[in-house]
Amino acid sequence: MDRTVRNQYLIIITFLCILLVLVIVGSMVFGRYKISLVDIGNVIKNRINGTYDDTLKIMDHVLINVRLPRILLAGLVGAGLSISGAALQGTFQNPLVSPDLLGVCAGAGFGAALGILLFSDDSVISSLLPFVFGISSILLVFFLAGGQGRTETLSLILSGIIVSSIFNALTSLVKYVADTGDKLPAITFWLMGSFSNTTYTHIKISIIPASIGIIGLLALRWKINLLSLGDEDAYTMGINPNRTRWNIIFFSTLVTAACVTVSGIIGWIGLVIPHICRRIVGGNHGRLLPVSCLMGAIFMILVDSIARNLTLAEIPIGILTALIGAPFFAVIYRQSKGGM
Amino acid sequence: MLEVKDGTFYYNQKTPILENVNFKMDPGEIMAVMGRNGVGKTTLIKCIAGILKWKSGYSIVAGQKSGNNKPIAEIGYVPQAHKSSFSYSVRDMVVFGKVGHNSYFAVPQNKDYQKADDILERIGIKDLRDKPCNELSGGQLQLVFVARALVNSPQLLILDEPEAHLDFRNQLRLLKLIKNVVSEQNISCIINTHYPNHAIRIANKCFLLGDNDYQEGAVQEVMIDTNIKKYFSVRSQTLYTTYEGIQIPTFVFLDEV
Amino acid sequence: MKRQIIILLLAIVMLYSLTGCGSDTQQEINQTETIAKATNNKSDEDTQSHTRTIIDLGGNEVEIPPVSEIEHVVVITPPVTSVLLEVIPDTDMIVGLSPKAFVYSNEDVMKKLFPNYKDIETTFVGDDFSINTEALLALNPDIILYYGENQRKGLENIGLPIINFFSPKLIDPKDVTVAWDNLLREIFETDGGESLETEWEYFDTKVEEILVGQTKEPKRGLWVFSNVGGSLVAAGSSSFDSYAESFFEKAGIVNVATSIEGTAEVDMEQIYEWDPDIIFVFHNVPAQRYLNNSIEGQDWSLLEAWENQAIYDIPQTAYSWGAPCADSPLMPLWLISKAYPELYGEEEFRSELSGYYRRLHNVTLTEENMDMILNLRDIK
Repeated sequence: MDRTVRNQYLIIITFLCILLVLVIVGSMVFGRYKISLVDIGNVIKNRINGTYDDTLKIMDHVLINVRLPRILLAGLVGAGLSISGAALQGTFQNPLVSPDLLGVCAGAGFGAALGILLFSDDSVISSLLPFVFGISSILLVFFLAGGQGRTETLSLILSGIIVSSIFNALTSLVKYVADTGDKLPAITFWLMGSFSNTTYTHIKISIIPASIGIIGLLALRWKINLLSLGDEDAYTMGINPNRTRWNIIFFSTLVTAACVTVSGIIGWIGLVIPHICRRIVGGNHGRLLPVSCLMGAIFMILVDSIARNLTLAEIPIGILTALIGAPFFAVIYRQSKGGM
Repeated sequence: MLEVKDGTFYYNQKTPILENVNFKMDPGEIMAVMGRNGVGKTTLIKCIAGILKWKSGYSIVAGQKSGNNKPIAEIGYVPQAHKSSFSYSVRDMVVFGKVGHNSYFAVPQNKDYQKADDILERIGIKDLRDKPCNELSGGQLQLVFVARALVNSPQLLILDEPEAHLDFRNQLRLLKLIKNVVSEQNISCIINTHYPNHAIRIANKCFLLGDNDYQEGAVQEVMIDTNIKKYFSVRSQTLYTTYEGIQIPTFVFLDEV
Repeated sequence: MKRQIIILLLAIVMLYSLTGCGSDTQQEINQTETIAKATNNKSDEDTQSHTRTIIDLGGNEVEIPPVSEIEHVVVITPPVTSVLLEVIPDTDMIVGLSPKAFVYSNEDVMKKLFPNYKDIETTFVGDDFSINTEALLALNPDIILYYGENQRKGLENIGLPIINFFSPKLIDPKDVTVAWDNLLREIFETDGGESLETEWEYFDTKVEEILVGQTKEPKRGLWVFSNVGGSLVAAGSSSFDSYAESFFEKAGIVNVATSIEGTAEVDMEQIYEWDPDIIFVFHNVPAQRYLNNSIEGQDWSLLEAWENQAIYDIPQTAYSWGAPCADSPLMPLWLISKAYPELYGEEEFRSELSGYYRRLHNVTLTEENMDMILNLRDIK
């Protein structure tokens, strides 16, 4: 038993957990509304003791109802997108795969646009639609690719491209007919991705499917290694490659759809975070997935804090993740001399 | 240990690749599968390994009948050395052999790593264990794959042209290793090879596959000049050398027919 | 193979029949228009030499026909349309509009200013100002009014006089509306009547007189530019899409979002940090919902402005008063009536409003009309 690798892994996990807590606390402290550390202490004291202080009313609201849900949601979405990116990269034996490979984001985007167009009064339906369409995109891919039979990776990816373009076209159609006064901007804002105006409702909507998906992927993480060696190897090593692949796709779709539903489409994170983590713990998905999960949460909370704090105006989070993620990716790519 | 009964396989029904294949193997036996390129050697071992499904007939390995779409844990399969998209350490790669056959959500335990280390030690590549697989030579990687198959203590070991990328010293090492493992653990082994000289050195049995028929039997009886002429269209001559008191037949290939 | 060819042919036929159905009505219009054009052409030959050259706000020299020959006007820019209504000799001359022209309009006021505004062709221009050239030409326009480079695409090569109403130099709503008004007066050669310039002069002096009495700390105002899908956009210092700062300045109000250039999305924390005294809502979610505090994910009740019930919808007549339009001279005074009611009350403003409409638009506003304009908008 080589303890050093295992120990190193445990140290990294512990370190990331601590870092996550620090980042959450740090993000709670910083915001456009200035709250001193003393006041934060008082708010927490009041919350714990159940006392009420009218002078802290706004601070309490900002901390508990504005910042906290936003930070939690950013963490959840970061973790979810990163882990499903890592899982799909392994499953498809391709380090360039991102969570929206199979049309989940396109489907969810169409669902959201449709919800804004038709059901903007009914927040339950309009927030469920992206999720429903995200999941149905994967079902479409499933049938296009030939169902439960022997599905080639290539036919899956092709089906994903087809489904993505169908849903993207439908989204454009919805945007075309949408009222330019308030519906079109709402659709555009949604598609850009944002955590502004996050409430606990968003967390309630996404936490259950996202958790099921994340737990499912974590449970299957060692099987992803086998899949990444090719179907024949995977079979002879004791797993049914088709079934396992569909299970992984199902779980990562669940996560991605849940995330996209509440945050809109946020690119790059599902691609970049697994790469960074591969540099730290190596390619083994047994270790890569938990580390990606934690790292994704940390990265997203940090980026969102920047989006909140850097200027008076909100910077769309999708732009920031691309701006920070892409150069990061480039540096890693160069360091590894093209070998992933 | 292994029984193949009326095994038939085809991609296109009109041109069957394997038709009514029947043979049996006992523990401790090594069978060399031989034949020309494209004749269906790899198809045969993939059918036995379960990667491909028999169209009719069946095989039984360690009491388990083929065809229920569940990989049989008692089979250890060694594919040809190939790189993977992601680089795993040698140790991880060997442990992966343990992962699939454990329960569905299994995570490898300390004892699995222990076992992997033991096997790496036995095969003599323990010093490579922390190296990334994608930095190994073809021969080293082939040994890692053998270790990965052995980590599961299989009853039947199947190797697909294991010596393909090796220099002849490493070929010799690998063949010796296989022979030792088979006799130590009293398991069966099917090895798919292009070298009659290798077959005759390590195998007890030989399976000669032709376009329309096959021959199966003790290696000394099957692997003879007339069969080489029939199944490979090559004229050959058998010479004999003696090493450590054992007479070893060697084929010299003279010309194509 | 044969079957596939037949299917392919069928598909092509079906596609064509589909487009055919869609363009039927369009063709009818086309035909009547060509006839109209044919009759026009005769008179054209006699008077072709009377073309005039004007310089539009983009600095381009444009040759336009003499005023007697301007019969069909297409106006693509929404805010300019309201000023056009005040200048144009006959609103029936307007044959084409942007579909956005009256999205911020009060229906009752529009009935008085432009009775058949809903019947005007708008389908030739998309929401993104993309132009269907053939549909535009079918309207047989004599001049086309547009706003900026974005709208210019698709107009450049159609051989008709196109007049730009956008000038990057003008950012004050007064300068903008006066420039529009003057250019339109030049085009239609309408010298008489009230011009926006004189109205601005009148209201500027009035505002100045009133603000002399304003000696207290100025009110701090927030201008909500839009609020859709949980995304709140505030209007900052002046730029081409936001006139909040200029209007606030004229009314003696401090813009809390002054450090934002143009318009930008802000989060609720920032609003709490600003804690404005008074809030003006441009469009989308109506002010009443802020006052009810019923906007999901946004708690407005923590603000000073909410405590004081000082949240107002920006009035809409032919266009929203939040953008430069024909009623822009009234806007500073209206802001004062909300921010400093002790200096200038709503009753006084109502009389100015009805006087303005009589003078400029020749329209009498009823009390109900004025209620509609000045009261909070209904929650849809």
